[in-house]
Amino acid sequence: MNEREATDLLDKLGSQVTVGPPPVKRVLEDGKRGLSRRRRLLTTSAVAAVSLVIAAAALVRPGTSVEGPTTGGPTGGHVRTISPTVEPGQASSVRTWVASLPQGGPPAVPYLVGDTFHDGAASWSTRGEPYRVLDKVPGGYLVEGNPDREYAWRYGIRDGSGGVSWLGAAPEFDPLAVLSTDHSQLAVVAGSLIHLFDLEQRTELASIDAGGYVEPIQLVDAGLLYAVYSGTGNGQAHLWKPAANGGAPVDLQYIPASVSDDLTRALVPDSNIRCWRAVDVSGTQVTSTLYKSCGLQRTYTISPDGAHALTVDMKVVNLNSGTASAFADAPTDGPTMPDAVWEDSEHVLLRLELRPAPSGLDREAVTVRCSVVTSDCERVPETSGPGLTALDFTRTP
Amino acid sequence: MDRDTEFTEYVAVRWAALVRSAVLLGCNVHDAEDLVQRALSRCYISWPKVRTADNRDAYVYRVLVNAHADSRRRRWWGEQPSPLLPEQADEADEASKVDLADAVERALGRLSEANRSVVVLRYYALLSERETADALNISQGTVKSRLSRALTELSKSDHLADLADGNEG
Repeated sequence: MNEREATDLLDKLGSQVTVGPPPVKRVLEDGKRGLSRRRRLLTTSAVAAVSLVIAAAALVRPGTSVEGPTTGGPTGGHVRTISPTVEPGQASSVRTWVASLPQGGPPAVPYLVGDTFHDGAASWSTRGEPYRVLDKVPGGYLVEGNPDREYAWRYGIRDGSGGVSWLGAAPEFDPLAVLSTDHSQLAVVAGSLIHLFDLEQRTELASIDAGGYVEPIQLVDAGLLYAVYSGTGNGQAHLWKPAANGGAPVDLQYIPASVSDDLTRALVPDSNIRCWRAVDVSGTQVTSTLYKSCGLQRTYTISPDGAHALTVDMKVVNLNSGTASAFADAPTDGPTMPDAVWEDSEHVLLRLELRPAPSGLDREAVTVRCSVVTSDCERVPETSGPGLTALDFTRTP
Repeated sequence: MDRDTEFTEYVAVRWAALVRSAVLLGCNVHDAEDLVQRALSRCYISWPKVRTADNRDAYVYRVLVNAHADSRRRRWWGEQPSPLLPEQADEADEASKVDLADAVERALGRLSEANRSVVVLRYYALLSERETADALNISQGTVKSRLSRALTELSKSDHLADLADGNEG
């Protein structure tokens, strides 16, 4: 058999495979959940720097009564599926709504606009830099690059002069990483290996072979929460405490999309593929379902304190009261599942696509800051238009 | 072009080829779609790295092959909870799936997993030898030697001549 015959054979076999249409939205949603849970904020100093110009006190607009907190076992408790009816906002386009919002301060965390990196008063052009700036960490900025060879990424800390101190040995192909809430530690996952770095000492604290296809979820106070997948979509959540021996399975039922910083609340998929649940996990297992919603009302990101969650159709769920509400005057035909970046437990930055895009292939988008407590929103300056790049770790747009 | 736009376009264009590649690697169609979905979701998170790679396809195929290899290693895991509801099987549909699996297995089943991966990436995904080497994290020389051995193995198959003539399937 020659190469041509082999190509023909494979082509013939491949042509017999009937493939459905690409589930673009679902893949994109999965990807966004994965990205969202990695975006953790350095909350301590950043919150104080936020220049909020939230408009005059406004009332949270509770939705039509929905089922409140529900207790019960993880599988046996009766939880009625909730399809909350929220008070509709003013039916206007996103563009009109955004234009009506007051102007707020810039993002409280580092962010990129085009090639320019911003961190408070500091900014510089990243054009030509052989690495990608990811976030602010003790002693500099976390970067990702492949200084040794292609397809072998490493993480390092960029100092004020632009020099980089690389951490540990070169990881394997396609690493994923998460920062701890206080940005003092970094967990890097490559293949089945997990490495934990101390960013202040710039040393590797520990490593573990998880024994399978791993994705980090969040590095919380309790340890590193990560997922081990079988490769066919099934997986199990594990919690790794470096002081303990290996990662222990945790009974979260499914791989969570997002967890609170203290690992007491999480968003997990439901057995009904259209639904998601906010659950109380009390550290290692589901003790109750706080909220269950389906379709466009399904939740996808939880606030750092676990008190609120956002739904795909841009509503806020108060997980303590079990009520859903819209942001003030937000259009009912707003974007679905906008990129969400929590600045703190009250404020979330939302990257909204403007419709219709005026021209070109790029989707025109703008960033707004919304309060999940007051429901008010404001525009974030200098973040509109194409070219703004999301950072992987910060919650900046 | 922003991440979502680029990624969406990539998925739309490459989905079918990736699923078919996963089937040729040894998955059934359902597992292939799950595998590709997971690989693409991972690639979305890593998109800044994917987009700057010399060849995006090589990068994505490497993620896919890694995930597939890992799934084969972890068969002992057995049943796991899944948010997906099982679909009701259709008898005719099931029969066609069995035929397809049989045809693929008879054609490629005699290859080792390593040689099969090289064959699928080189002759179905149409990656170059260099891109195949990158995707599998092996040298170009290894790609050539594996291809040579694989072609020899395939030549020994009694079923391929019929398949190539369209008398099967």
